[in-house]
Amino acid sequence: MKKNPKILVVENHQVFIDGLMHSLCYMGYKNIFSETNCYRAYNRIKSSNHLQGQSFDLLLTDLSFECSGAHRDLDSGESLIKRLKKENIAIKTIIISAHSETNRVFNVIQNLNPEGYILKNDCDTSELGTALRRVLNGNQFYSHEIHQKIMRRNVIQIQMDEVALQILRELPNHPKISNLEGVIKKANGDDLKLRSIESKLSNLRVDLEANNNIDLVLKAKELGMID
Amino acid sequence: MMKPPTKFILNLNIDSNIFLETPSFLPFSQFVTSYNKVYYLDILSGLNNYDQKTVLFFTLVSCSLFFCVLGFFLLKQRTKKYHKINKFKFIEIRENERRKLAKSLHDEVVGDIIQLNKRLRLKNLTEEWNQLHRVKENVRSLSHQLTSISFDEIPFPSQIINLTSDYLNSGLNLNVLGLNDVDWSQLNTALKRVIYLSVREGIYNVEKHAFADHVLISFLYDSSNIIVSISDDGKGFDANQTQSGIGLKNIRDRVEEIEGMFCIKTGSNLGTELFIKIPIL
Repeated sequence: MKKNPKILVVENHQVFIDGLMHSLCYMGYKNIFSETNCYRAYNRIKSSNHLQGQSFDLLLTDLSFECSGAHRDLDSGESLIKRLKKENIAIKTIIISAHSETNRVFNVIQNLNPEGYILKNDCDTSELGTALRRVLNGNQFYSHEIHQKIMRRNVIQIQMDEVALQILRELPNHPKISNLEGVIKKANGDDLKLRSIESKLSNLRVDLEANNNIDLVLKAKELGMID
Repeated sequence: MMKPPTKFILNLNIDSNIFLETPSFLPFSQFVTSYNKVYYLDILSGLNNYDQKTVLFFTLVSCSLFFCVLGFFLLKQRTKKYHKINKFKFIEIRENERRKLAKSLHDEVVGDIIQLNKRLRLKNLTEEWNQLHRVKENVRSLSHQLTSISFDEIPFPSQIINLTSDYLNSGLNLNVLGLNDVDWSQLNTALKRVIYLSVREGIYNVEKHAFADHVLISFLYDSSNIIVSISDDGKGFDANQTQSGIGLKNIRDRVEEIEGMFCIKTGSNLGTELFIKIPIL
């Protein structure tokens, strides 16, 4: 981790900025700045980028802003991140937002791929600290609830896939994965090839965050996907 | 007495425009008799069978009648189709207007109020500031009510999955069937919006009232209709006793506006099934 990282907090409400700044100070981060709207934040990041060694390392931003009508194209956290990405400005991003609908969360994660995502309503100082540490070290951090949301979405998607369900159901009955070949049928009645079964299995493990196949079956049972 | 008979014959043999050649001052019955007379006099020296001729005549008349009726029905169907296209267009335009209105309320009106509010606060006019703040919140919530769902950025199936996953928890198991069998990009936005809102209302009702363990949302599709069914295994309700809630009424209104069909199958302890059938163009 870089010593004394430079952080920009972008948030609409002054009370919340004060709280965040206080928490960050308490954690030992000294180089913190704040902005209350996306347009100013964008300008600040861009201008500091021109100065040697002055560029921001981390952006901690909200998604919705009460905009004052002046800068339509930069009126949300999404547009700010999109703009920075478009101009190839290297800055790590953590989103801290109250928006918890899967539609918004999933869309942001899929399109903007931020390094961190935490929700305001289940966030405390220790979680914020972990998020900052992990992201500044080059890892990802999504809060527990965000993980849950993505997982639930995956569950719905897997349940729509008859082949994946077949694999999950048959997996405990066969000691070897190669035995599954010939058992798993595609929608048109053909056998599924071993390679496809294996790639499907690895996707399932990723989607359900399982370490191995046994874990995968247990998780699927726990989530009510198979009996 | 009559027009030159040769011409008459020719017309008779070529097409069914026989009426066009009829002298307009003669009523139909007279025309037939005069026609017969002509026949007997001199025209049809080649065809000497009276019955054959009548049969031919009536066949032509019935044929033209048949085509008239067919044409009428085709025209009617066409009108109906255009009527429907127009209706979809109308809904689309209405939604666009609403969105514009919501955006301008949200961006301009609220923005102006915020500016004004700042000035009031600087002048320490607390009471006015508070009142204006309330007005601002009202305008904001109004603008949120006006915004409707758009499928431009996030495609429809993805939104349905996002929506259902918001309701998935340890107590309620949701299954979606047939969502990917339908080619949603081909369908009208107004239709998709109705389906999305109906599914949302349906799941919301299940979660709030039904005490169900399973919900099944299935999509079926054929060349002319799209069918959505939302069924649960919850406690159901007595359709005669319960006053139809505002949510269900909204679904019905929306579905019927685009000439769809909406029905509810339920009963105490029988679960509930919402069934929506919407014709596509």
